[in-house]
Formats: sequence, structure tokens, C-alpha cells
Amino acid sequence: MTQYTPSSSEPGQRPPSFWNSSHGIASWLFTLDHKRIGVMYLAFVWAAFMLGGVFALLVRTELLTAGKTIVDPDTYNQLFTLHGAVMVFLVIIPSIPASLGNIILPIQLGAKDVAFPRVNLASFYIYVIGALIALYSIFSGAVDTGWTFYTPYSTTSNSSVSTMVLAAFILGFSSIFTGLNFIATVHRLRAPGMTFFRMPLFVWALYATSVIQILATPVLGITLLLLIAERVLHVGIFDPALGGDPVLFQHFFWFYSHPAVYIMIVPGFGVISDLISTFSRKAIFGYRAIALSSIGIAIVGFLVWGHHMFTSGQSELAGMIFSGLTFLIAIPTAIKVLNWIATLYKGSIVLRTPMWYTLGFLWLFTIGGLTGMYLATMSLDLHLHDTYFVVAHFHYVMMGGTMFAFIGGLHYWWPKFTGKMYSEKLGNWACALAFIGFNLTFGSQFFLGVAGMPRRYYNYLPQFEPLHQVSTIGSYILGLGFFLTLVCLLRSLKSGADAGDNPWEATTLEWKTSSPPPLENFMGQPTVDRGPYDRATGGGH
Amino acid sequence: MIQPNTTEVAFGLPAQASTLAGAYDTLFLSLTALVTFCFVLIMGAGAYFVYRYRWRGGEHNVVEISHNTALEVAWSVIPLFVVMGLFVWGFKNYMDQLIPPKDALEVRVTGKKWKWTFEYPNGAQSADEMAVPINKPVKLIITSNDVLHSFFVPSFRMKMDAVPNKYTVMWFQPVLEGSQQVFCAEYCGTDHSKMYAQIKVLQPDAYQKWLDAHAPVNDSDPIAHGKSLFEIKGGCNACHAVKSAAEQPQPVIGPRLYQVFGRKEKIQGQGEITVDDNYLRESIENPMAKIVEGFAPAMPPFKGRFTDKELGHLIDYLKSLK
Repeated sequence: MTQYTPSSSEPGQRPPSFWNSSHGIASWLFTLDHKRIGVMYLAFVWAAFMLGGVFALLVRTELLTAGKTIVDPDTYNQLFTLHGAVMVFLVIIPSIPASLGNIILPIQLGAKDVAFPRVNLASFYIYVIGALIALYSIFSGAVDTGWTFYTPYSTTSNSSVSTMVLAAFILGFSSIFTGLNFIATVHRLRAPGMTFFRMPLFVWALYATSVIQILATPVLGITLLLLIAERVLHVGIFDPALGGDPVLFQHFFWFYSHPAVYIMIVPGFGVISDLISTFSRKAIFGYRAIALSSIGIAIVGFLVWGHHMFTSGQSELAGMIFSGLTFLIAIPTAIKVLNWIATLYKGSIVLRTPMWYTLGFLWLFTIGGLTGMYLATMSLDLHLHDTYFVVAHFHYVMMGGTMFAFIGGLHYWWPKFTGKMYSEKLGNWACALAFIGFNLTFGSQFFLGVAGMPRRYYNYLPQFEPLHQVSTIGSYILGLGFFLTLVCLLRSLKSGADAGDNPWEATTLEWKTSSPPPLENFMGQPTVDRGPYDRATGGGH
Repeated sequence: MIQPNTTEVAFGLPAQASTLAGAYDTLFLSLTALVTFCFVLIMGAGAYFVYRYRWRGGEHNVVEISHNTALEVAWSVIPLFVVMGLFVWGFKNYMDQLIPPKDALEVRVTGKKWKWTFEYPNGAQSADEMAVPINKPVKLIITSNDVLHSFFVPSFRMKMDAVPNKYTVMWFQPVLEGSQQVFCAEYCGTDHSKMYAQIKVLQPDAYQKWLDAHAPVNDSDPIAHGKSLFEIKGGCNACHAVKSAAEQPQPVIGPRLYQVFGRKEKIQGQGEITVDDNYLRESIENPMAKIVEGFAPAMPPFKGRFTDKELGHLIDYLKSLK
């Protein structure tokens, strides 16, 4: 616990919350408050999540039968491309850092705001502009390349590849700005006494993520610019017809997009670390190991991109190095999971909605991680590459991992930044439906992949139909679960009970201020004299 | 495109149809045993802790354990050895799967939207299906005419990308007589999911018969030569039907070429033209120049792929479609 005494202890003299500190549309559009920017990000991320979810359900519905079900092949190809592009660039990458991170990170550090509030607002508007351009590309001849934009398909496709690529390029800057801000905030704005090893693990995770964001995203930007240069100016870089090399694009693309996988999942690790400690009512097991393993993953994650290319004809030596390094990444990842499980030991486990999401995360992410071992094994990848096994694997990590952590974290911090408590019953139902639906949707896809079902197929052979139908039915249950989640949270804004400042008996700094927090987070400057999950008696309230 | 006739439900690994499929499956199943063991151990511990230490109301009784160095070193180092073992095993199998024996039969494979074509050392050619002799190593030299494709044979546990302007190599030694399914595994557009082929694994005499039946068509008969170029070298029938709509409803990705010569076509933004020799040649070499109304500009240019003589024979074949 931390030392923090409000300058006035009388409830009647509390300052207005950040929701009420100023009024009118302009006070939101031009706000520099990290919490308001985070809330706006949250609204946009959810809107994009629903859009990407509708694309996913259309894809799954088309796959209900082996032949044509609802759309023609070109529309199907656009749908899965848009699903991937929207979910990766508009949902998963900004989800935890830009929404929850923006709202919570400065408060966890005891800061009034992020280091560069104007850059933070700029990041949001760049995100909105990127999102609008991505939407525009849907209406200007929807892109059909897959979210990976592999050349030379993407340089010769007649769909609006340039527009979508431009959107991804712009969205990259939003990501860089957020990363830059978090790094500066962590280095400069920690409360007195908040040493690096007293920072909550959510902050550590966001810090590691930010480092990857500012180092890797420019490479994506350059790659996408080269792609546009080739499409518009016909400069030969990737297209063999112009003298380029299509495999070069894969190297460039994965040099960003593999670290990007960690941009997506590492913030989830941070959320889970905070949640598992709070809902076990004890300090996390192996704090330093978890904190440093995030940094380890961030570094080694830069050196494994070639494992996406074991069948591309790259040299066997290169493949060997990439495979070896990929296996190394399994170690820090395993350490985290084992630390979380060990934290449960001799705890006092309170099974509320955020904890159910945490347990769901552990199940799904462990499956996602362990199935990654098959793909890292070069020999096994030769059969499994580009099949549904890969699709199932990355959904278990990206959706079962990141999205479950995101939604768990959202339930956890919801009472903090809205001041309202959601319905526990509805929250539990939504979580259960999402978990069951998820396992049906993607569990079946492992078996499809092993049997040889290639990905991105509009038609498929009749022997694959039964498992595809299990997957499609699962996806409807999953969709219902996420829809209920939204209902549960939004309903609490109207009818939710007042949450109180610390409904979860949590120890980190954000729970020491009021719910919702005032404009500059704290009245007076909090100081810190112990670790983030330290429950020893003596300090604090 | 050949529609495969399998009807059973696909669930686990496909049949082992090559010499190396068995080694693949041993590694796959060993890893599955290991992964299942780890998963049950981790989830079992987690589920037990959640049940055993669940809060039952009242005071929270916890025992704070900040870390345990011995335990943490153990669960870092032991997995490290396990994954390094896996890495070595996987790499060894990978090299076996990738490096072909020196005496292998070489077949050239070309991927194009949306068709696989094959060319044998003796000149035999085929599209959508290839034949190989049983128990003999076969080396495929793979390339692409347009975008990336990937030659995927699940029953051989192998796939290799087809990259334009470059050769990649894949090999196998079939042990199971019969037809093996080939998929395209790298997304390549509209009919990616119909880019199938079959590998017919045959006894030596049947294989020889197949080769004879697929001997190259020489250029002394322009129409027969043109038909062969149309179906194999060009792979044009992946998108263009050559009979009446009643006889051949699919494909309709490109204009139907039945009775094409002398037909009047509406060209996007250019009005009506009559199909003649020059229009056909231009549409083969530079298809974007004139797009028929109602079709997407989807055809890759074939400039440089055919000699003048071949172009003449292709056009002769198209004229014969009446």
C-alpha cells in the first residue's frame, strides 16, 4: 500500500470527477485529459470490434456449407481481409494500451497525466483519420489481399489496396505516439518513491509494449510506403514483373508484424498480472521474473520473424536460426503462466467477473502458447503452415489471450473510471458464453488444420463440413457472449450501483483515488513506500 | 478443375502416403503427448488451487509467497532443455523433408491462377493432375506464372510455396497407390479454394501409359497445338469456358470463348468492337487494354509467355470453337 492522504478528507469537498470537470462536446473533442482520451479510444475500439465481429460472423456463415452459402468468392475474400485488417489495426493493437492504458497508466504511476497530453490527443485523431480511411476503402472497391498484403498479389490486385495500406500506415503513427508517451511518462512522471520495481506489472507490460511499438512500427510504415510506391509509380521492389522480389516483402512485413504480435499480447500479460493478484488477495508470485520476462520477450521477439516463412524457400540455415530463437521465446512466456498459477496457491480466490475472464485467459492462452510449439518445430510447420491450425493458434493467442485480458481488465477498471458497478450475474453469463463459444469456434479449427484444411478457402471439400459447422455455431455463441458483455457494461451506466473507491480491495495506486477520479487524478501528490501488491498491514487506509 | 471424390469426415492426420509421413507423425504425436501433459498439469494445478483456496466469505486468509528461486530456476531450465530437444528433432526431420535424393525424377510444376500444370523430362505435359511411379523419389521444381501459390499435399505432410521468377524444390517418395489430393495453400484470389490437383501414384506400367497419353502435342496441327497451349501452358480454361453455356456452365470468370471469333463485344468505356485476330492477340498479351463489359480486369498479361507461332496457333484454336 502506498501513502496517499487526500488534502481534504471530507467527502463533501471532493472535486468533480473527470466526467464532470467540464461540459459540452468541445470539452471532449479538445480534451487533454488522458482519461477522456482513453474513454474516446474505448468507444472507437468497441465500435471497430463490433464491425470486425460482423465481418467474422459473415465469414463463418459463408463457411457453414462446403459450396456457396450467402456470398460469392470475391465478396468472401474481401470479408476475411476486412475482418483481419480491422481486428488487427483498429481493435487489438490499440485495445489495451490506448484505452485502458491511457486511462489507468498515469494513475498507477501517481501522475496527473501522461508526459505529452497534446501528443496523446493527436494520437487519437490520427487513429480516427486512419479508421475513416480504412472505412472508405471498403466502399471504394474493398481490398481482397488478406491483412498481410502479400506481394505480388497486392501489387496487381485491382481492389483499393493503396487506400487500406495508407490507413494502416497512418494508424502506425497513432501507435508510435502512444508508445512514445508511455515511455516518457514512465521515465519522468512516477510519484515520489515509485521505483521501477514498485511499478504495477500492467505498467511494466505497457512499457515493454511501447518499446516494441516505437522500434517496429516505422518498419511497417516504410514497407507500406514501398508497396504504395510500387503500385502507383511502378518502382520494382516486390513485384517480379518489375524486377522485384516478393519474398523481400514477407521479410519486411514480418519484421514488423511478428513483434506486433507482442504489441498485441504483452499488454494482456500486464492486465492478467494485476487481476490475478487482486482476485487472489495476495502479492503476485515472482514479480521480477514477470516484469523482466516482458522485456525479454520484447527483445527476442524482434529476431523470430522468419518462422512465418519456413515454406517460402528461404535458406535452411536461416530457418534453423529462426526456429531456435522462436523456441527460446517459449521460456519467458511459460515463466509468466507458471507464475500466475503459483499466485493462486494459498490465496483467497474471489470469483468475480474479471477473475473469470482471467481464468478463461489462462486456459485459452496456454492452448495458444502450446500449439505455437508445433509451428515453431520446422518439420511440423511444413504440413501445418497456412492451414486452419495456424488460424486456430493465433486466435487462441490474439483473441483468447488479448481480448479476454482486455474485457477482463475492462470489467476490473470499469467501476474505477465510471464509478458504477456492473451486474455480476450478467457479466458471468457473458463470460461463460464467450468462453464456450470461443472453444467451439477455434478448438474445432485445430482438427481441421491437422486434417489438411487450408486457410482463406471460400469452398472446401465435403469431408471438412462437419467441423466447419461446429466452428460456425461456436462463433454465434461467441458473438452473443461479446454482445452481452457490451449490454452488461452499458446498462451499468444507467442502473449500476455506486462502486466505491476500491470495490476489489486492490493495492495499486488507482484504487486510492475516488471513483471516478478527478481531473488531475489525485488531490495532492501521492507518495509510494512499498511494492505494488504489498498487502502488509501498516500503510494506507 | 478436378473435384475430388472423398466423402469421409476429415478429423486427424491424413493417411501416410509418403516415406517421410511416418517420421512426421511420430514427432507430431510425441509433441502432442508432451503438450497434453503440460496442459493437464498446468490447468489441473490451476483448477485445484481455485477450488481449494476459493474465498468462502469472511476474512481473507492468504500466505504471501513472493518468489521461490529454486522452483523458478527449475521451471525455466527444464523447459529450455525440452524445447531445445524439440528444436533439434524438428530441424533434423526438416532437412530430411527438404533435401531430395540425387536420383529423383524431376518434374516441373507451375502454379497459375487457378491451376497447376506439370512438365516431365520426356516432354509429357498435364494440367490439374500428375502421375508418379510408386516407391520412386520425385523432385518437384516449383514456380509460378503470376502471384504466390503453395503446393500442399497433406498425405505427404509437405508444402512449398510457388514464387514467380524463382524455383523452389520439394520432394517425396510415394508409398500408397492411388490419388493424393493437392491444395493451393497460399491465398491467390477468386478461385484460390478451387485450385486443386491430384497426384496419381501408379505402378510402373500404368505410369508409362499415363506418360504416353500425355505426350506433348507437336505443332504440326495448329488447332490441336493451340488447344494444348490453351489448357496447359496458358491454363486459360481455369477462367474461360469453351463450350456453350448449356454444355459448360462454369467457369465464367472471363468471357466465354465459344463462338468468340467474329462476335461483337461491348468494351468498357470504348463501345462495341468485333473480335478479330488482332483483338485476340492483344487480349492475350495485354488484357487490360480492352475489358469486356460485365467482367473484372482480372487477367494477368501473357506478353512474352508465347512465341509468335504459338500465338497464331492459340488464335487458330479459338477460331475453331464454334
